[in-house]
Amino acid sequence: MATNNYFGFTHSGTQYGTAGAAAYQTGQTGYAVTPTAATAATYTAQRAGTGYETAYQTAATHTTAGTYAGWYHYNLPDQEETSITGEGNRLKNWRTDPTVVPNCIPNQEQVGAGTPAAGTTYDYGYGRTAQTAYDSTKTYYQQPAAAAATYSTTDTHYQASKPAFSTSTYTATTRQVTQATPKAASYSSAYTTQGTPGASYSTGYTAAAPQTTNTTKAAANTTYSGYDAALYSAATMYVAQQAQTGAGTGAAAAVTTNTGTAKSTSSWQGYKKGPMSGGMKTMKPKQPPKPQQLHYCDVCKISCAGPQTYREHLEGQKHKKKESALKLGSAPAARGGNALRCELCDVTCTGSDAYAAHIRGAKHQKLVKLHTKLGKPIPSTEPVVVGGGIKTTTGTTASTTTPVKTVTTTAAKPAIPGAAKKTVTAAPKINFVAAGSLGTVGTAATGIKAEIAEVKSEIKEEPVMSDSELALSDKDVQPVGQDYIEEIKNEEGKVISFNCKLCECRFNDPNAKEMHMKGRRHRLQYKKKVNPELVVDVKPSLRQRKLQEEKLRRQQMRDEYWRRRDEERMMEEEERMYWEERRRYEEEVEYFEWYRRYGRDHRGLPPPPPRPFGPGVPPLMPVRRPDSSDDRHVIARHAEIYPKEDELQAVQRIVSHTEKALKFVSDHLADMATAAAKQTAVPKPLVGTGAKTAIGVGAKVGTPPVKTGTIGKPAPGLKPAVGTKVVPGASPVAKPAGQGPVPSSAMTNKTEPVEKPKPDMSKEDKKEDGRDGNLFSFHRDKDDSQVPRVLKGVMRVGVLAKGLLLHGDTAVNLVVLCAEKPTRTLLNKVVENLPKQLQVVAPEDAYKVHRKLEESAIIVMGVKEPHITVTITLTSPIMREQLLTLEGSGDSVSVSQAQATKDPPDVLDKQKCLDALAALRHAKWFQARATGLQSCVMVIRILRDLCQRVPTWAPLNSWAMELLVEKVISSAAQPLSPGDALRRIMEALASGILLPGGPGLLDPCEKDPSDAAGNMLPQQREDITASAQHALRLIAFRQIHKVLGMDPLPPPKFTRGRFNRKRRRDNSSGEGNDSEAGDGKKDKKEDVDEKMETEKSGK
Amino acid sequence: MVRGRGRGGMGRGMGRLGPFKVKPFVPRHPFDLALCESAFPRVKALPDEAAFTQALLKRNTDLSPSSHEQTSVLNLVTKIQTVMDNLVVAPGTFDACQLEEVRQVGSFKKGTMMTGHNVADIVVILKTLPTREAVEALGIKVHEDLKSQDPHEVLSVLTNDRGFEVSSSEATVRILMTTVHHNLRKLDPELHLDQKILQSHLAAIRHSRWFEENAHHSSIKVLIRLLRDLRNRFEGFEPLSPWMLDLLAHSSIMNNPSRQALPINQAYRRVLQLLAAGLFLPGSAGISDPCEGGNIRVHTAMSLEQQDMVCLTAQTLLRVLAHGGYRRILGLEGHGGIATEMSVWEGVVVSPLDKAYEKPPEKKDGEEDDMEADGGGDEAMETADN
Repeated sequence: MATNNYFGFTHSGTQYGTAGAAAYQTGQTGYAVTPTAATAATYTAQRAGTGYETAYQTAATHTTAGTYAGWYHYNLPDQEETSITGEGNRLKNWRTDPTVVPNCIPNQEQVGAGTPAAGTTYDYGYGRTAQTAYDSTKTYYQQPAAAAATYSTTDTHYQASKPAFSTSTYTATTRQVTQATPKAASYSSAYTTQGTPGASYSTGYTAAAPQTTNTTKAAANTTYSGYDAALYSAATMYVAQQAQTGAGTGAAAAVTTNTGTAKSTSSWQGYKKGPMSGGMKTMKPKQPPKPQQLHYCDVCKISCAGPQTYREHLEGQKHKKKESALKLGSAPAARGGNALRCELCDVTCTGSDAYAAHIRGAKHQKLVKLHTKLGKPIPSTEPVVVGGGIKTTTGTTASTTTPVKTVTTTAAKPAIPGAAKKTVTAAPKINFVAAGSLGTVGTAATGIKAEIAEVKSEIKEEPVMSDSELALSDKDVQPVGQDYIEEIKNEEGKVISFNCKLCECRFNDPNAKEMHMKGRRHRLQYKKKVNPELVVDVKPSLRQRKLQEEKLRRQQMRDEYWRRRDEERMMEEEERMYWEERRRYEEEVEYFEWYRRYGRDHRGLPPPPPRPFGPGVPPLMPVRRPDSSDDRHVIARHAEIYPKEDELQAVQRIVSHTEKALKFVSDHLADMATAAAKQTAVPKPLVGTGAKTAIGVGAKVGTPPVKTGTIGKPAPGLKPAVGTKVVPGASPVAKPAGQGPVPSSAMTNKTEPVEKPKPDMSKEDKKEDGRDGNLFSFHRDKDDSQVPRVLKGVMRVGVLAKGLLLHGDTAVNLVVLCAEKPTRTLLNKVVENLPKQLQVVAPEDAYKVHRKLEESAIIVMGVKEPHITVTITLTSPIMREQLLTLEGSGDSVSVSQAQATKDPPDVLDKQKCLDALAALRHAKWFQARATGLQSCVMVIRILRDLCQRVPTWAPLNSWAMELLVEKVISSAAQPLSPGDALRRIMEALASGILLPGGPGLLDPCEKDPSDAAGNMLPQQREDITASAQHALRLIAFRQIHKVLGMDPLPPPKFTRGRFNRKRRRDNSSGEGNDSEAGDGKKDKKEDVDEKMETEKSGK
Repeated sequence: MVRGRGRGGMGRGMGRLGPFKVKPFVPRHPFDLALCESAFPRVKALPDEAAFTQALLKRNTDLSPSSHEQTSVLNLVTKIQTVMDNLVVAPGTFDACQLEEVRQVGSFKKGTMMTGHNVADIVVILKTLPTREAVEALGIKVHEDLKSQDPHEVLSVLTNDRGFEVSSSEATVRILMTTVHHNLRKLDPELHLDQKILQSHLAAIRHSRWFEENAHHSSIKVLIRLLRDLRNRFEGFEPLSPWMLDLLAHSSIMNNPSRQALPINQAYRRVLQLLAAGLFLPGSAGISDPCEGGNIRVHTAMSLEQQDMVCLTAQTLLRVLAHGGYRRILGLEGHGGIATEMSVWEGVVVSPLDKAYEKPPEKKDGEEDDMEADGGGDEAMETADN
């Protein structure tokens, strides 16, 4: 019969298989909705599903389990346990009196009306599902159905309650339910006989627990073994299980404690005694006394000849091993979708071929024989496909896969019977019950009935779950990676073996090759190495899962960490910007402070950092980027070439003296001219002395010459007149001078924009030398005479005006503007008078004055150490005006002729004069354009140094160089740091801007387009370009020091300043960081808390 | 943490600047005369460059493939493309790999092919992972299919690191294998083609797409051809990849204030000017790759030494060009030694330049490390506290 059963089931089994796990889920819904018609289908489906799931548990087939197996493929001790417990629970709930009642009665009492209906439905269902396959079995089924009908009702109740304690939050609830049902059925008889109240509940709970966690399950197993030890052979499984729990082994205790009700334990114990005493038999009339004859070990599936051997076996290594293996969770791990399991032998095969081989094998046959002999149920030879179900069961995350979670939630606390009861009433959702069979001697005892009382809609959702899984588990896996299996042939060319290159394994049998190609390992390799799209089902072991979880957790932590770090960095950045800003500001302030000091002190400085002298104040906060290595080098080099303080002072001093002396000379000449004019009344402009009214010194006529000298501060209020210097020689010509300041009108006749009249001349703080780089006019307030001065003013030009003085420079230039074309006579006059005036201006300093006629210049040289020479060039704007007008009208030849005819015979060299004028314009241009440009002056100084140092660069005249630098820097889109600016200059030169064919440097200070660097020879251009090209690459490759002619700077340590760094450090290790750290801790704690919570809830 | 932040902001590329460059490194575009012409108004009129232009055009004609060459390459490409397309659509029994997409790339596709180099490139994107076996199998499959189409044609198939080559007597088609993006990280160097190569093949697809969209102007193609020729003849330009040349040509012709294509002679000179001005030197903004995210400067693919080499060669050539040596540069006369040997042009001696790049010293100075170590210590403590 049993075989028949199996047989029947095999068919149905396959059907399930094909139907897919989906059926399982749907099946439940089916129950729910239509109790009658759909039941069958659903039921079967469910069975299939459970079968898969249970497979992973792979407990040894229990005897009783075997009986169930008659109906269901699966038989899991723990599941049975659950069922039992469930049963018990139900018992407890339903029956307060422990009286033993024949099976049917209580059920009928409960749902008397329901039973028959249930039975019919069941039959019907089976008929439907099994259809042809079931023909023979059908009858068989019907019988048990009828029999079972009675208690099926109770089962229903039980079921209803059961979800309540299946609470354990994990996905498998549905599965559990299904599993439970059959066992419940099986147990039903037991419960009828043994209706001990109270006990059941707790056990039920424990049973549920093992399914969730492996450890508890292990506990169950131990109890089980304990039972074995008792040698109560062939007892029905529920008895056994009760015995386990009752046996009082630690594990059992643990289980019960799990539930948290001490009472339950005791009840169980009480119960246990019953079976021990042999009450079992009374309970189970159907159970024949056969077990004594055969000693059968369920764990190892062997029979022993006698009690002695059996005991020995139990003591033996092998048994122990198996037992512990069982304890340690799902013993032979399922292999994924295409793993086949022989339930009987508890053997997992990797493929159908292997399975077939196993079935044919002696071992299997022997066991079949034994089981037949024992009357134990023999599971169908149809292999149980392992894997799909497993996936669902193991998917622990409760929320995702639990379709039946509604059930679980309600019954979260099954510890209290009352509560349980309540759940039962409240959630009678699953109404399907399967009855177990009790066959001991070859007869499958009881039928099973499925009964549906009520339907819960939620359950409908279930089908989705394992749909794909079942599909997966289909055995028609396509072999993959044929190309990667190479055939190894022997000498005769016959294929003797195969070598899989992916898995690096060999096999001799073509069948093995086929199997290998379908195998999981191979597929995995294939997926990994060839086609990542290939679907290989996962084999999740507990360890893997843990690893994965761990990985996930770590990933999360990492993310968190990075997020925090980013935030930190942003804060840090802000902070840094702040300090940077602050530092810049401080520097700026310092700089201005410094400048102001020197400005006040009159110690005299050429416009060293020329910026402040530019037109208008340069932007207060030029955008400055932090120094790069290039910048640092350039700045360091600049500091080297920048003149020392005393040098600057020396230059300043001599220049200032010269200027003042020149002014006196001018005054002198003017006075003489006026005097001459008064005497002769004939202006003699050409002689250059006349026609000038010298102006007396304000109101204080006749006062001893006030030499304010270098200090030169007019004492305001004391003297209404502004002129501070009194020229001794001028005193005779006392004028009834007007008191108030007269606005100067001097030099308005100049067309050159460069020579602007100084509006502030009349102001109190009238300057006494040309240190601001502008024209130092000799004009005085009361210049009211009709005779124009010959010497109108002096202006600094060249490096002095531009602030490009370098360390070691001793030559500076001044240009004196004359009203008329300067002549040799004039030059001589000045030369004669200048030493005297110098003596007056600076009695303590000795200067030598030379005349350099060929240069049209006067040279003033300091006698003292630095030997600074001041070259004074006389020129007149008239020279150029004339030139310009003439050029405008006619050709240059006639110009020169015209000049020659008009000019006085001893006029100075024209070109020199023009150059001097150009120098004036360049100085003006420089102040207008270059000084305000960031990094420009600095780079020009650097390049000036380069031109002096490197002969190759010498041909590049300074004006062309200045122009070039200004153009290149101003054409950059953004302000440049010194290092970048220098590099850009080199880039421009390297790209051939000076090469023939280049655009040339248009001189902005000439009317006609002319190339400032036009006089350079092609070879010079070539050489400079080549040198710049090399320099550029040196800069790019961090060797700027070679370009600058200096030693490389060590990497800066405190470039940002101690202060700054310190602050930052303080800050970062201070509150900011602390708080962050605190946050981190907090976060972590929270995490931990959360985790613990989840863990708790998991339990 | 202090250190981490300080360093982090520094920018990876410029690590040697020292740890105190706080602001992120902002590369700067080098001086480019074409972009700031307004600052440099011409003093003299442009010299007449008609002869130079003519020489350029002549050179281009010499370099362009003949129509016969083009046809033969095209024929082979078409055949292979057909075979491949069939494999994509209907793999049939072929299961060594699955083809996702087949695309033409490279100079043939772009129309910048040079004569004597009758090679077309096709990139095959696999759905599966590119094992060497798969490549081999695909090669065999393609060969078979081609054979079946035209049994008379003699074709050879050679497998290499990048895929395989199908060659007829007159043309070669390189099949470059790669795989879909998400497969790239699954690669195992033992089994599969080199990941770098695969990525470069994917990049090649992007490049040809970019080219189609942006660089269809024929001046660009002419300039690319000229530059390739230049690269072939001057060893200093060896490190420049075709993609760099494409970008260089494009930027030289199109990247000017008017956004109109520059005449070829100006563009050609400008390429040399840009290179000489250090466009492809460290610290320069260079040209950021339009086909890669994250503002990758194309020239960073070259080693520093190579960058120096390229720049130096361009600088020398630029000077030669300025002194009228374009015929030598274009290879119309004389030999190519001008980049490395001294030459005289109208009395001007043009001498080659020396390398500027030096290998950095191995070790940084210890003191700084100490200081850093201090910071690190603090950090370690802090983290330990956490």
